[in-house]
Amino acid sequence: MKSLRANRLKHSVITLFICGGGLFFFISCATFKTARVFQSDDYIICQLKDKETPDTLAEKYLGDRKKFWVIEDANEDISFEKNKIIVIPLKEKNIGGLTANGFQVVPILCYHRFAKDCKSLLCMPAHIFEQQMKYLDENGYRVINFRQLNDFLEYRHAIPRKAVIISIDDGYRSVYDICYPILKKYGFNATLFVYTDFINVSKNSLTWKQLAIMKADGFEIGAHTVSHSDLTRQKEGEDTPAFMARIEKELRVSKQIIDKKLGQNTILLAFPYGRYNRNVLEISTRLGYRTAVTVKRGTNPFFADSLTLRRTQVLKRDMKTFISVLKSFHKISLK
Amino acid sequence: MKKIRVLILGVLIVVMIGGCAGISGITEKFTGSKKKALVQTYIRNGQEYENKGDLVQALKQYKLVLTVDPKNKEAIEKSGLLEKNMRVLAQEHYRKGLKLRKKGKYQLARKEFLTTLELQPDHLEALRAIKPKKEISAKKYIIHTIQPGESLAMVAKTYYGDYKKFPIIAKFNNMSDATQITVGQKIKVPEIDGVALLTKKQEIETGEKYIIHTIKPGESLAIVAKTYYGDYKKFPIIAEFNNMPDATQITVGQKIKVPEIEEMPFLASKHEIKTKEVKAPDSVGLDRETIEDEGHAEEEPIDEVANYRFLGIEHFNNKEYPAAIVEFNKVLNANPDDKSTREYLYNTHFQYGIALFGKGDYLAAKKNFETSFSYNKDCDKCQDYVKKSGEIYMETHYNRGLSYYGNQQLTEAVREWELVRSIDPNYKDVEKDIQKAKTLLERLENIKKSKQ
Repeated sequence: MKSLRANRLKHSVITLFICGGGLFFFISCATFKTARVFQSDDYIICQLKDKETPDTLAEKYLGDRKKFWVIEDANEDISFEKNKIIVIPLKEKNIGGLTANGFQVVPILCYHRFAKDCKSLLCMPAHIFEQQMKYLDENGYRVINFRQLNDFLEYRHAIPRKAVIISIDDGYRSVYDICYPILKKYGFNATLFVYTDFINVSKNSLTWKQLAIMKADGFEIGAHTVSHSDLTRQKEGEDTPAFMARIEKELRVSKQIIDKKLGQNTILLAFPYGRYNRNVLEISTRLGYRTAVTVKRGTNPFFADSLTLRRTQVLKRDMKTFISVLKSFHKISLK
Repeated sequence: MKKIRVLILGVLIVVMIGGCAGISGITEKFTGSKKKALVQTYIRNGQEYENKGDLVQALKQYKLVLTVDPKNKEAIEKSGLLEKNMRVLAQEHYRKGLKLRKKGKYQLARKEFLTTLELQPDHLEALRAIKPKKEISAKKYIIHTIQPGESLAMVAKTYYGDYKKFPIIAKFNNMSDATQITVGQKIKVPEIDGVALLTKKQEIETGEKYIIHTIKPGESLAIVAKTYYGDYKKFPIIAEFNNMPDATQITVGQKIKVPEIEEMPFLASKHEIKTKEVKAPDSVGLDRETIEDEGHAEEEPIDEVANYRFLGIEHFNNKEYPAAIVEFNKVLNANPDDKSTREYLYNTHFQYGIALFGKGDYLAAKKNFETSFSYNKDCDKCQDYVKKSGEIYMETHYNRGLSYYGNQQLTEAVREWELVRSIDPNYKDVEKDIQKAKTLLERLENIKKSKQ
């Protein structure tokens, strides 16, 4: 018994030593850390260690792995290799993407149907879509969603320098069967604008379940009215109050259905045929839509009107046209 | 045992201290000569940016110096000075922007506000100035033609009794510069709440001058618009002038009237072309490129409605009738009078009806033949098929009802017969048969109850 107690005592003394040693080690290495990395209120400057990537740096210094693009954008011309010196901005200053040479703009792409092979402009063949996504991936484009775009439009947060949004209208089944797997391959998300009359009705349309699956995977779902109605067109024999009531219903009921089916607050809207007028904008705002897209070609700066955002339809299949749409910067001297 | 433990502990401590010393040795290298080099690079970069007039980037470089060496005198001094200068400059640009905006030079004002924000991202007034205001909504407006010597402010005075209200008109007409108006230009003067329009005389557009243009192969109405007005997007004017229900439905050789409109340049007239054959001018009037147009202004506009029609036609050709119907209906939603789409819908529903008829789905077939007929009242075949599929449907279910009845499956028999009755209550003895079966069913129920 006695020897056992003595043994225990010895053990605890040794453990104490080891712990003390460890503590000493950590303290000495903590000083090493600060010496290897320079830090001020505005920046961190560090020399890359083995296996350090923008992801791990973002996690370590910005507290969020998903902010890797902040580090990549701040070190554009530098390859992330061992011993390279990297600058990490700690303050989000340039929310509008403004420089002395111009300002950032965001292209929003618009697709409809997908197929293995098809000829209509509104239908994108799978292999061409794949080519386009590969181009985005290989050329440093970051596919963002409307939540991020809203942060930019409301001047709350900056977005990646080469940001682009992928949007798909109407709710064709081929979005799930063909487009979704290609997007996932590159880690991209898209925003779907669906008209509720079409969902679940045939083998050509998406189901609510498929929409829920994509939503859970990071996709956004927006409204596109109930019946894909031209919101600016009064029907023959329809008086103005009846017309107004119909527009209001198209916008209100589609929002209610999507809200309920997907358990969300739908704030995104795409005008069918890209058609809208002041009246439509007024009703949309009143019903709680915050962001709406048109099919007016072009890109969007931070001061764009969030209810009439420009969107470019990807209709042609050649890469030259596709690349010409991907403009991320508008040059204008701001000195 | 004891000695071994002490030894291990000793070795451990040596390794720990040694290890750290070793690493800090490397660190020393980085913070020593490398540190100096870094500071020098950043200072050099800072000076370069300053020379280029890019103060924001210059300040960043000095801040980087201070990150590496917080006590660097040059960087402390320069960054302090730059920060001060930038604030002053930002304010200058903001004031300049305000002045320009007051004068109605909106696009130039915006550039100043953007510069303000570039220099000072938290300049909230500049941010507010640049964000789009709510569009002026007015249901009624008057068209006013600018007279010689007339400014927008004078127009505001005429209609609103107040010179200062000209921005309302400028915004309503989406002008990027309120001073850039020309004599003869037609502008919309909106009627707005709280401001009574002093003059109510409505000017009526008379422009009845037009040129007859013959459509050439590959030419669209948008191309014609581009030829005469220098702008693809003006094609609806031509469509409306020619009472076309669908601007995409033009044929080669078709003669269309291209109206001359006062507020727009009429390019063809400059080329002195007055009759049929019109060559596209080599150079076209360049639109002022605005930020919004992003250089896409010169592209042919997309006809979203026509695209849906093409999609429908492709489905139709692939015999994918339900998918084709979805697309054709989208066309009619936007363009109820689209002739070719109505024709396609008639055909698609008919073909789909035939396919369903072949599969034995007579009720669905009947519905499609009915819809087909609604698009083409001359379709006798449609009516024949409506009748035929209806009759086969009723006969099938009537007979099924009979055989259920024979097997004493009364509920099933009633169900079949009710399907028949929903189409035609007077079909054979269906009404009587249903009553008979129901009475029998009731009796059976009563017997069951009494037994319990």
